[in-house]
Amino acid sequence: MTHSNIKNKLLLYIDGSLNQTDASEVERHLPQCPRCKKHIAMLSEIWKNKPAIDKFTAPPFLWTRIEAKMSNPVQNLSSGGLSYSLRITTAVFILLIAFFIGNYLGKLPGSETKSPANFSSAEYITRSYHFDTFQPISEESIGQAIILTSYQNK
Amino acid sequence: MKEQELLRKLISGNQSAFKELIDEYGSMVFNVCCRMLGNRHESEDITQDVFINAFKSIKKFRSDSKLSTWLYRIAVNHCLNYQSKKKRNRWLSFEFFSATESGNIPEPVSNENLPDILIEKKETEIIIQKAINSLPEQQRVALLLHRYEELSYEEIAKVMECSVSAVESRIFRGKQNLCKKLLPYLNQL
Ligand SMILES: [Zn+2]
Repeated sequence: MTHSNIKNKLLLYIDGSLNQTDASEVERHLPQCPRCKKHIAMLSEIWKNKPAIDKFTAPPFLWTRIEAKMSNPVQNLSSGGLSYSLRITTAVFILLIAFFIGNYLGKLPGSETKSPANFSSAEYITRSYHFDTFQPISEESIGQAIILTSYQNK
Repeated sequence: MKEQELLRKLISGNQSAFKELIDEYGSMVFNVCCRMLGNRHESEDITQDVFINAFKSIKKFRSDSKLSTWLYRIAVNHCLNYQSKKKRNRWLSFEFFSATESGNIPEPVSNENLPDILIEKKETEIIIQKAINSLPEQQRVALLLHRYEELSYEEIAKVMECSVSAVESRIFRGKQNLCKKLLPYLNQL
């Protein structure tokens, strides 16, 4: 095993969780590698000699609180808060509203970003006369529009 | 014997038996919640929910396991559910983008203060616990129960509802990953 294989097994070595073959490899590696030697000393220090681990005592009046909670259950995060599905629905609803507002604003006159030169003649006519906001369009009105446009272009 | 008697009273719906259960196991449940959540207030809330759940489902308790194992299982599941719910809620409230993961190991402190670090065992214990909390769920639970609750592999297997060999493998991989996470720290020392 190389240094990079061994370095992540040091904690297992300290704990005696490695099999005999791996443990012997670590033992052979340690005298040659100052880094692993340093790490193993530090890991032993912090892992094995764990301080007397603080035990927490139960919060006071636990039974009284539980009794109160059972007789009067209130919504909190642990019991869901604003429910997940409601949150999802709200998020989707907001996105839809934003989409429709954006769509509407995009269709307002003066919100065009494309230069008229890039429009096809049919698109130009539709946009110039806001035909896209009305429906249905009669063939007559399209004909009139074409005549008007060609007259304006002269 | 005492446990059997308590259990019999619990199943019959005896109120004072519930109080007795809390007196006996309140600290144990609170401890495991604190270890898993790393937050006292949340742990208090979850501890209450664990007992409420235990009261409601006492009839489902299989007497082949210990009451403590059963309570550990409810507590661990409650904490995991709570954490995933919290993660989802945080994402939906857009806090996800600003908040840092609670299980992340904090940035190492500057080199001038280093000699004190190893002496200050409590501080290193906090680092270890944070590193454990940043491990994948199964490894994290197994390691927390092993290191802080000092449960045997058999007991952990009962709490996690898996085989002893699965616990062994989770703890083995957990320690390996933990080592990976701790080494950059040690390099700063
Ligand atoms: Zn090495």
